[in-house]
Amino acid sequence: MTKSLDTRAVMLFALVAVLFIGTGFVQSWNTTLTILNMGLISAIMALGVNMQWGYAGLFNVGIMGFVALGGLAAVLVSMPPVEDAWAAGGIQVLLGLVLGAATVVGAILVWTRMPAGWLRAVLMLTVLIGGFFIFRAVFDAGVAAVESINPASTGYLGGLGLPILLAWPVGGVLAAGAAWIIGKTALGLRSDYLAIATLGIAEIIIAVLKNEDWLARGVKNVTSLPRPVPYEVDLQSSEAFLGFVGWLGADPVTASSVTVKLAYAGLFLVVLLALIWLSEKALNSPWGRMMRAIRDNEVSASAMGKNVKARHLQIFILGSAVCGLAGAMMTTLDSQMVPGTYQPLRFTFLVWVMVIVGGSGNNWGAVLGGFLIWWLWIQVEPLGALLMQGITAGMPVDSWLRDHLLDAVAHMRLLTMGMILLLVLRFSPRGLIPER
Amino acid sequence: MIVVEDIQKHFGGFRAVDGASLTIETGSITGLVGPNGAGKTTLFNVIAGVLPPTSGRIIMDGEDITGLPPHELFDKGLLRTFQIAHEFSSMTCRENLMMVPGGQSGESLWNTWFGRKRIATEEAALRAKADEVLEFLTIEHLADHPAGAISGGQKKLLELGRTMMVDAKVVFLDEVGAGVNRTLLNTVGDAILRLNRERGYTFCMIEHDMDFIGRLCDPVIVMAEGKVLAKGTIDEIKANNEVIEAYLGTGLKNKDAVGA
Ligand SMILES: Nc1ncnc2c1ncn2[C@@H]1O[C@H](COP(=O)(O)OP(=O)(O)O)[C@@H](O)[C@H]1O
Ligand SMILES: [Mg+2]
Repeated sequence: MTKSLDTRAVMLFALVAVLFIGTGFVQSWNTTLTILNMGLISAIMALGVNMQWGYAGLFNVGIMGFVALGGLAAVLVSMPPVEDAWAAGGIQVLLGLVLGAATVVGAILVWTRMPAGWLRAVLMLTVLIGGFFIFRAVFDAGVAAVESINPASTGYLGGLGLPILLAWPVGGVLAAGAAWIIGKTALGLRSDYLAIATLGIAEIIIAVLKNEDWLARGVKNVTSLPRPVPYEVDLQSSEAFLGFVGWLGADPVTASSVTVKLAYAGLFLVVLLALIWLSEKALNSPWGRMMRAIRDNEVSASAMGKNVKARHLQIFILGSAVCGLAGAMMTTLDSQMVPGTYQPLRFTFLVWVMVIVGGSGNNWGAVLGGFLIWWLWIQVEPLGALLMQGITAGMPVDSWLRDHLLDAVAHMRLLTMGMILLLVLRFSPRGLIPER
Repeated sequence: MIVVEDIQKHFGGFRAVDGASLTIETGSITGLVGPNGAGKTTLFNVIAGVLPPTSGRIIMDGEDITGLPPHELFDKGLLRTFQIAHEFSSMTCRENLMMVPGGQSGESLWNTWFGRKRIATEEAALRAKADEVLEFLTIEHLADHPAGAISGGQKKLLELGRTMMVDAKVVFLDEVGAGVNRTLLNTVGDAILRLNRERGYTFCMIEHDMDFIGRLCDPVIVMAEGKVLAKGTIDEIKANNEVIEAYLGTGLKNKDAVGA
């Protein structure tokens, strides 16, 4: 594990630690922890993308979709089932989905099993069109029934009512399933096909989440997901906690909020460390050597007996699963699933910046990038505002330049990300902690 | 035994391989010569599963292997080297060799986490074997160098070395001697002969150096314009008028420098 962690890396991590600790002193420890928690999740996303890009050169531009599937898992696992909705049309919705799947399978069977010719084409079209109408008839009625049950607060099927921690691996599995489908179709073809496929599927996933109310309430959002950690109010009314806080001499409200955030941070840290351990072991082994060989020269690796397509599929699925896991963790932290917040800029572009700035191919680099870029993403606005206030302090109040500069604060985020990306690519093109 | 049956490989309207049929006997070192552009490399790529043939079949020991992907051919013992070296440039020369053997337990992710002991034992053996091969090829001093940074001739040796990491049946060498200096060329020749005699490797090698071919190969097959022109011992080939004419067409008049 220490092999890829040299002095430079340690210095950089120390620097990031200083940024976070500084935030604690200058702003508040609550702020530090808020940034840290999403930083931990960002680091995990960056690890996942680094597996795909850094180990195998696979270009995934649909990170957002896998993260959103993780969020869906959080809803489906942790929310209580809506009994009335199930009674009204749950079975019918499921039946509709099964019929839809059967239609697709049937059409594929016709296509693969029958001899080529007009009969095959006609039969396949019949199966598809007929199946589609049956699917819509069954499914739509079920959906209408489900969505009519108390639409203001439910209007969906709900989840399984299980502990939300279970949703983390389930989020990984959902994302892995999507990755399997994408990989099976797009891997082994020209590499840009994967980019197009991931981009498209991610948008489709978000569209489904926004529109299929029966699934996770669509744009009506699912809020108040159960938590894996205590609630602040419960802490504030707990004798033991108040005693402890009193002994520390801290404010109970702040203390409860910090405690909750620390609890999340602990959970996330365990996951991150486990993933780093697994990734480092895998990378510094014959498996990692094989992956590097494939990345260096696919033709040659294939001539040396390595099944390039299967390995690409494997790493694509694993990387996507890690993104799904991170997505479930994020929705857990937020306690809500808001499909409208899934923006490519935030969940695909930003994670890419993390990986590239941190150092693709190096797990520690990706983790560093996750923390550093997330910290910047959050802090650039207040810092920018501060900076602009400083610059404009001496300017007349109605000055055109003053207004312009103050307006610019809102755009500082993207500007800074672009600048950092350019600087790193110019002066350290392989990232801050390059691959060996 | 490899039987190539009437292989056609067209690029658009251009017939790079135009009905080539040939047999590579088990245990032989078969030479494949011919002027540049004759379609030799293309034929190799078809046999090795890199390019699908337009038509025709490849039979290996009675089994149709046409169109099998390279990694499956590797498992069947069919290996090849590349005319333009295909080293793993970011890996050391030793790693280039160690990655070759298939079915390493460390290629399974599970073992990389929970089977470290077994991997360590295997790795030690692989490392010893790789070092042995590097020494055999007289490039042991390059073991820890990145393969991308060594000379073209040394890369050729490294490619030959990869085929020595496993027990291959048939090895296709595409101009393995090109860019390799005289002394090293003799080393390569010795290596090929030893692999052929001691480990039973069958070779099919594209080569231009007639002395080198004369020393190693019997029979020699001549290709020109995508077709097989002749097959025989080196002396028969050198005396064959059709062959001389094919080469003359490319402007080379000295029959001893055939194909240079
Ligand atoms: N991928 C390709 N697309 C188009 N033409 C090709 C391709 N590969 C080889 N050729 C052409 O096929 C002919 C045979 O090439 P090659 O097999 O490399 O010859 P050799 O190895 O005998 O020198 C050449 O004229 C070459 O330009
Ligand atoms: Mg050639």
